[in-house]
Amino acid sequence: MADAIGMIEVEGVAGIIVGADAAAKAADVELMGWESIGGFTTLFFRGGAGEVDSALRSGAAAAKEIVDHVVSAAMHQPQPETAGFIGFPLLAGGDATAQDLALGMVETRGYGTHVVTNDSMVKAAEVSIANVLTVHNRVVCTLVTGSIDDVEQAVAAARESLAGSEWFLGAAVISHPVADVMRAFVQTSAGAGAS
Amino acid sequence: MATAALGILEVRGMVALAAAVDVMFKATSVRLVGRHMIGSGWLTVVIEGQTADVQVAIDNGRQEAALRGDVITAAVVPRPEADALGSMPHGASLQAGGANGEYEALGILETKGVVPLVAAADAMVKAGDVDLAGWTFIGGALVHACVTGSVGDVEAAIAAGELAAQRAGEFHAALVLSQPEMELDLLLPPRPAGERRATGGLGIVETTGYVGSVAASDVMVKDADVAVVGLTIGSGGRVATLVEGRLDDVMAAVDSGSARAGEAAELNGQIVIPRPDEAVMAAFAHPVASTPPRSHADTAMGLVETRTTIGLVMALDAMLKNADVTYEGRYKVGYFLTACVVRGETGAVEMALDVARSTAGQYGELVAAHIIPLPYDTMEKRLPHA
Repeated sequence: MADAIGMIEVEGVAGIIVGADAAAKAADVELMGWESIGGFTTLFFRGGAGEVDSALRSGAAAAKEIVDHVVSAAMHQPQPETAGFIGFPLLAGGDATAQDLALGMVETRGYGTHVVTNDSMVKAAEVSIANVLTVHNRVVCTLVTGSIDDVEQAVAAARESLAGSEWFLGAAVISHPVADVMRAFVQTSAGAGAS
Repeated sequence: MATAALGILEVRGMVALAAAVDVMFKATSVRLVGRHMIGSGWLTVVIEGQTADVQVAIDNGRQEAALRGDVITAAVVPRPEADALGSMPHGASLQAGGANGEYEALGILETKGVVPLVAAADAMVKAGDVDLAGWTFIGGALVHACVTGSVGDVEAAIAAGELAAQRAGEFHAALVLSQPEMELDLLLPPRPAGERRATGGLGIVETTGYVGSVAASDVMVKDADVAVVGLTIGSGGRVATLVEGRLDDVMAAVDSGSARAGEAAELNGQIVIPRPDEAVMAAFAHPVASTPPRSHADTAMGLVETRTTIGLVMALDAMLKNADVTYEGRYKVGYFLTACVVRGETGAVEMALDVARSTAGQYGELVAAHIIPLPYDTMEKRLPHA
């Protein structure tokens, strides 16, 4: 039984995707899932207290590289009720295996720009649109997958297409994302709605 | 046949979108292939057709929307990778809304907040022979209601509705479309599901966050003989509590409810509508789903609401560790707001709320920490937290 829970909260969602991967690679922690409250999203993971503290430092630092608003906290000996706040939980049985592909993220305010930039990404490189997450307060994040070179190329094309846009928030590429990050953010139907 | 071009128009507000869509489909031969809503009132439509048609439609739509609101994105994608884009969320199936297509004119009235919208809806159905076809929220506290009927009736209704909305709160925009394009039906809200019925008065107290509305509901059912007939999210963090009863009871309830909501959290508006139209009751007063009875007789309810999940989780953890309270449930309003509820003896709940106040603020904004010493069962069973 895990004796600590780590949490990282950011504006948008790209920050906790990057944070989840960094946390899972930095220490022996298990991703529990994430929550969205319409604007902010929060990542939850668990493990031994020392592991959680160390994963939290790496995860928060990685998130800060792409988003300004990052809050993090560790809860030792958590009350079981607190797990009820994970809106999009992962099934038990964590998998931190690194995947043989890359995950690219493009985050903006507004949806319309994603139709345009996603078209430019699939034309620029061999990538698939893996998911489009809507986290409310107008933030939308497209996830693409492919080989590392293709994802780099696609994200570069998206950056070019968004150059000078007042709605651009951030972009990032994760090479060899852990399996749980893919389960949490790609194989999910989270998103959509008004807030 | 490969799609020649996709057109994308994203605007803020339903009136701006409807006006744009109407001109887009009147002028050209294009097809509506998707829509998406991302909060804060930002709405997107996606069309396809021959490149020249799509270009004309998007240009016309952008100009029309700009006259009535903000245009976020207007773009044409020639030779799109349609298969690759097929998994994007706008492609989810389009379903027709509440209007049935058999009408001469469509009116849409948009306000910020549920209070002015209900006032406008009541004025609209009383001013003309119109059908109240539905209402919904689109984020950022923007809400709209649709009416259908003859051109003259819809125009009279919208004029009366605009005046009523301005008196009751913040009016945003309104529109009358004569012989609207059929594609518009796909963008309209669902038909009212409630029951048409007459009542002496309808009272509404609108707050930012869940706690303010629960606090208002508690005092309203205690101070007057009214029934809670709705607890409605209005987006943008707004929640509206609706009560009905005899007019003098509703007036007394709204007085106490709005005062209490202002103490517990943020009050956005309140109104009493005497003898509301039966169609208004059907549209807005659909009863809240009853929750199973809670076995907490004679205990106090503690409510904590924050604009941070971490702050709320840490506060709950600290409350359960430091006070003799149990966790009852949580509720997400959206737009950064999240709340939880604990139960216990009054002293224990007060102690828990003190702990929550000092914990939550370390991680973000604490919106409310409120105690209801002895909530009435009639109010409690209508609360949606679980």
